[in-house]
Amino acid sequence: KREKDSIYSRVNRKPTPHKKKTKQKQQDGRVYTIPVYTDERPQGNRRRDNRGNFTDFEMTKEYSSTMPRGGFSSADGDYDLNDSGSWMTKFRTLKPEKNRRKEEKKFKDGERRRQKEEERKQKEQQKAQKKKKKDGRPGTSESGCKLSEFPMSSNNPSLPQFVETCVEFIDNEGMNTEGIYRIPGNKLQVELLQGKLQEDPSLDIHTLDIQVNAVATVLKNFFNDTEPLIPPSLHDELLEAAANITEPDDESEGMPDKSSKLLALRGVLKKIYPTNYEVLKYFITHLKRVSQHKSTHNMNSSNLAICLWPTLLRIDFTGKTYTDMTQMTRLPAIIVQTLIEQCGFFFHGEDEISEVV
Amino acid sequence: NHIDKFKLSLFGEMGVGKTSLITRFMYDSFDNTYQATIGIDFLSKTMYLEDRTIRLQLWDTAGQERFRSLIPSYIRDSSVAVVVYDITNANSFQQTSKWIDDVRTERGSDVIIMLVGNKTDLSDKRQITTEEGERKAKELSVMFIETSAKAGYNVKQLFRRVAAALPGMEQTEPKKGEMTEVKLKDTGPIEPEHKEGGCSC
Repeated sequence: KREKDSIYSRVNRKPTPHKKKTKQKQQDGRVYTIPVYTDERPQGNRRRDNRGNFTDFEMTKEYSSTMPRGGFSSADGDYDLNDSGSWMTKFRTLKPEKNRRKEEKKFKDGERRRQKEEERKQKEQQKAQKKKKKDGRPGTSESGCKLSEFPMSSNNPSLPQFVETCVEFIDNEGMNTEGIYRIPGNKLQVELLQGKLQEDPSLDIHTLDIQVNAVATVLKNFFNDTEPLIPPSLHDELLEAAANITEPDDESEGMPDKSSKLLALRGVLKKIYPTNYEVLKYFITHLKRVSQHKSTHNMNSSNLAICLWPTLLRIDFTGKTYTDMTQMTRLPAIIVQTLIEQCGFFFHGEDEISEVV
Repeated sequence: NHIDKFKLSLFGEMGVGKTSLITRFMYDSFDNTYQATIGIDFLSKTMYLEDRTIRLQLWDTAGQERFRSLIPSYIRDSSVAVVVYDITNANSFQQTSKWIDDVRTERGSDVIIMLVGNKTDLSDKRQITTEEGERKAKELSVMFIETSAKAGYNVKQLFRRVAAALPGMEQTEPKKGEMTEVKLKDTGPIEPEHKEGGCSC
């Protein structure tokens, strides 16, 4: 406090209302550079640069022409003579170039922020509209292209060639890559490969110098951009079935055992539109193979599920907070983990559930 | 005995070590199991500083790109954003600009941002030099530190430096070496004063 007092005594005048305001704000804990009233005040043609040092400057035409001899006029035309009436006080009112630039910048920043805010709102609205349009038809496109519209593999008529190319490359090259499907690929490589694969989905990725992480990212992006593999209309049923799985097994008479709980989940999966089902089957089977190499790349089924459920189960987070999300993440991850671990049971007609090691 | 609480959020690509940094700071340990973070966790820790005591709420986020749209709601009440990259992964370094941009879009200069280059223990695989990190931090006017959560290098310092930069009840003159904070605070509240009247005195 003493320091502030001394500041004012040094300039030998009472603070003007404007300065009082500054002072109040400072007291309520927010701190910023106070318009300074130290004994280092500008002398003659000096001003502060943005580091707070004083530099000499030429009196510009602009300044000299707007500077009335007797002082500066305020808005109502009166000369603003305060207690001290010193020239420097008025000099300060001129808002030097620096301040003006700062304000312009701040204004632009604010503008930019507002623009982004608006863009986001628009996007949210669009999403909400899309949501309204969908009427629970599994497999229909809510966003992005239908999977069935892509060129199909010659080996499997309901598998887009794009997916097969990526999966085969990852099967061959990705089994020793730590964090495969977790660590994102290099952005440039991802863009390059995306472009090349759109031109020619059956391209041999080995001919390009591309890391396997980038291929995994491209595949993830593909599933994010096309229609959801698992239609959102089935989400509730899936989550319900998954909630049963997570209940501890009750061995007593009359209670469903583990495999019958999984059977309920399998029943829901069968409702998926055929092309999507085939692609899901192919992809999950691939993930199962990946998870079997967990000792080299550290991606066990749980890690894979955590990294991939947002892609496979495209739950709409619009308007959700992170806290909501925490509650919404556990079950979807369990669904995907269960699909990977019990891949044979869900997709390859095996009757028995496999023991998870 | 008033204790100020501050929310600190960690951002960064998947697998750069956000959770490991928190684990090292909270429990002074390192978990060797490779485990992706599901959703979000938060932990609190009280810190004693020279002149006061604060409580830091550490929010760990999943690095999933699908969750990026949630950042605005998440950063809104954070005082600190710690943006982490992996010094052995050039891509994670490039992506920090985007994270910082997201944070700035939401909070302008009302937030302390710390850029962290993690995994210095893997020096033989290093792709991003300390200088590159420093340069970027300077360009984006954020703080910078390199750490190793695994080796326990610089992790305490990271959180201490952030804590020291937080606004206090009676803030003294900001220290000289830390230009960032000065910038942070001098932009906010001044503007309305100039706008209120036609004349600023």
